[in-house]
Amino acid sequence: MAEDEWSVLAGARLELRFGKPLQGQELEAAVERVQFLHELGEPFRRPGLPNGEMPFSNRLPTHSGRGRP
Amino acid sequence: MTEQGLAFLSIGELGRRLRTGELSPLVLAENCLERLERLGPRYNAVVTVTRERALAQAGRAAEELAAGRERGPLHGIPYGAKDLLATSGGIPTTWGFAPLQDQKFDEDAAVIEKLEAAGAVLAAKLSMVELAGGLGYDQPNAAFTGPGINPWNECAWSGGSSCGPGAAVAAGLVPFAIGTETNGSITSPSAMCGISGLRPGFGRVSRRGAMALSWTLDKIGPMTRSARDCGLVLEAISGADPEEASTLPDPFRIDTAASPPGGKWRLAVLHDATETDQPEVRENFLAALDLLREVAEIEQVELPPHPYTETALTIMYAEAGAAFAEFWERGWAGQLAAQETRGMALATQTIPAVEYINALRLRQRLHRELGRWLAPYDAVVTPTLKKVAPGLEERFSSYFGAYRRLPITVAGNLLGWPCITVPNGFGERGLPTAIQFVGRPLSENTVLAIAASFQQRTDWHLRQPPDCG
Repeated sequence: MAEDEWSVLAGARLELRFGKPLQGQELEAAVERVQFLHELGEPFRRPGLPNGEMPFSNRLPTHSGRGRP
Repeated sequence: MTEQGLAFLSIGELGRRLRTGELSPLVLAENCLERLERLGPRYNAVVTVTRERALAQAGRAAEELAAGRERGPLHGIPYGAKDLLATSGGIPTTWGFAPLQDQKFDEDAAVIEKLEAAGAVLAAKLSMVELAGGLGYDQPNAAFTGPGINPWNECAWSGGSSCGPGAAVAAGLVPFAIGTETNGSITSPSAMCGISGLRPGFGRVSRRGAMALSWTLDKIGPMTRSARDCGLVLEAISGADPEEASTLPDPFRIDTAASPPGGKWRLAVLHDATETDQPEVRENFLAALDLLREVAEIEQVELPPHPYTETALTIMYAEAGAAFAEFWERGWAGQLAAQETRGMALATQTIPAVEYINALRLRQRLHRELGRWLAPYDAVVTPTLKKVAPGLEERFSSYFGAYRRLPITVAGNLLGWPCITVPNGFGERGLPTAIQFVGRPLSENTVLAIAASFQQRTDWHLRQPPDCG
């Protein structure tokens, strides 16, 4: 994704969160970090592991019967 | 005994002298207070010297010990607490962050309460990376107290985020300190400063009154000069807390008889443990393995490949985003010392819930899979860090490259496994290297015993930094 696209994405996400558009230095500083966090989240959007295994079953999940997700 | 000699005695030896009357708690406290006031600023290690409280506690300990009322091995022993543990009585708790320099709490954190009950003497609140590094940082100057300075080489960093505890113990300012770890903040400064640091398993120690960075990753533990001392402190601070839901029901009790079932420990060494561009780190690790073969069978293994860093950091930053949600509204980003990551406060607000939940789901799976992987062994052994402490002007991203946090360190934090780091020699620029033992859940006694076996065969933990008298 190009830098201006990241800027739009970050701006949109932040506006959604704070209810108003952000601009200037605050937005500029956030864009790079939004990109960093977006890259960290990659395995959890398109689950796939370095060894080719899937971290989750391809089937829709069912409750395990004990505890949290 | 000289003042400096007293400063480097173990908790066990200090306790013996206190109980026999050879040493007064007031003399010991005054010795630490003087060193904290004189040497603390040199290492940027101290935020507040708690002189009044220390002398009151030491006076009480003196009276009780004279009357034959012993509270245990920490009775009369001074310590320092990382400055994210709440302290009452008007003592500030700054979280290392400039806008919070005057923050005060009405109550002590649970761990401070526990240490008070054990008769320990709070001598100082110790410096830390601002907000425990929860909004990121890429260089040592990341607190209003300045960069933590390493007693072994004053041009090097003392580590983070528990930089003050690391330097204060290494320089003999206090016999022990309390640090916290979310993703390496006890083990990393302990390794860089050449001391022994224990990250207890998740739930061993109540976090009530500690700054919340990540509810599912934060841990509290001891930083001392030996594995044995780590056990003494953990015994005093562990235990259930009805007000802190994550705590385990049973307290930790030292098992001095902890020994390997078949006569030798079973250690797993990671196949890439010696991959480093610092030869001393490799040589010291191999020498340590040679010694450990006297007490352990060692087998090479491979850590199953998973996105450990992505999982841990997605969880940590999502939870930090919730913990520090007011940050942006208060206009605090501009007041961070670590300006290079100032955008993180805003960025954490944008992590999708789906990514956070999927990271939690993967962690559940890793609990099962890595639990089976580690089951045949008593611990995994690796160098704690693949490089010695960076210089004060270094950028971590360029100095450490892929080595800032090892996958086993991240996995151990993610799954709440106990880990102890102990010094195993020296490397570049006269800085310490270290070895770590990562154990199965609830196996603190095992990793402590293995580390103690190593320390019985070495004297790295007894070395003192130059010129810190």
